[in-house]
Amino acid sequence: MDLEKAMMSSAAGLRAQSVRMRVISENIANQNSVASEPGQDPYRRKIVTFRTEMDRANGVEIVKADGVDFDKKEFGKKYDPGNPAADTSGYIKTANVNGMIEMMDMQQAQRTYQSNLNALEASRRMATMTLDLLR
Amino acid sequence: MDITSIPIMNALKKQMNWLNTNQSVISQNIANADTPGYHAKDLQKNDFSSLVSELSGGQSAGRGSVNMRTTNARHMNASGVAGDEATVKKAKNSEEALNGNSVVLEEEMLKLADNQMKYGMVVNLYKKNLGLLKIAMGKSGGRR
Repeated sequence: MDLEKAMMSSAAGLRAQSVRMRVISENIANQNSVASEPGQDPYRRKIVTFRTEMDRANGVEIVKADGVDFDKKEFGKKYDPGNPAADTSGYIKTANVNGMIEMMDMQQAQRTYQSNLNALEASRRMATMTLDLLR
Repeated sequence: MDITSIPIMNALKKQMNWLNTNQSVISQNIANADTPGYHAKDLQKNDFSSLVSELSGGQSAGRGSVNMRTTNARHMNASGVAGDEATVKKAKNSEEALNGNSVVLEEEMLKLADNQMKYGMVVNLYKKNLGLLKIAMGKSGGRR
């Protein structure tokens, strides 16, 4: 039934967005994580990508989180000679996370999640309407 | 007797089917609102006008047009397409984001609301027609 398929793709959308939300939270939580020894890397920002996939069992195209990649952007540098991770010239590497970017990403994830939820609700209501024909 | 042999019931059934499929297409678009390279899809509109002209023509001056008889879902009609099939196509003239995604979330939400409203209308029409049939069946049939 088509409505069932509609609900399936909405549910897949919800799942994909929640994976994205999880990764964003990880990024925000770790934006101040630095290494404990000189030469080691601090926290590297993670990125989720999405991809469309055919769910052959149900014959419906769904969206999936395509795995988590690392952001290749350069680490930041901060002068902090007292830090145990500081190199010989007194600099430490900071995580390549920009709080503002994460916030924007979060907003977008939230918006898409909400839309998926609305679509799910609409499909459910349509199915209920059809079932009400029996009454 | 099959209930869909009544023309209006058949038309309503077709419309319901189309709206169902449309709902799943819209849901897919929304689910893929952030997928790079995804193109928004659109369900081709069914041409219900031919159905209407057939109905009104049948009432006044007999059969107005000659149609090929289709007794199976896989039969083709005169225009060369199989009966109830609706085709999904890439939506035209929508803006595309830098990552190649062409879903406009606001538009999809609008389509969603529209689809639901129409579905409510069709379901109510279906109910009303069933009620009419019940009335025709007589007191016990009409009132339950």
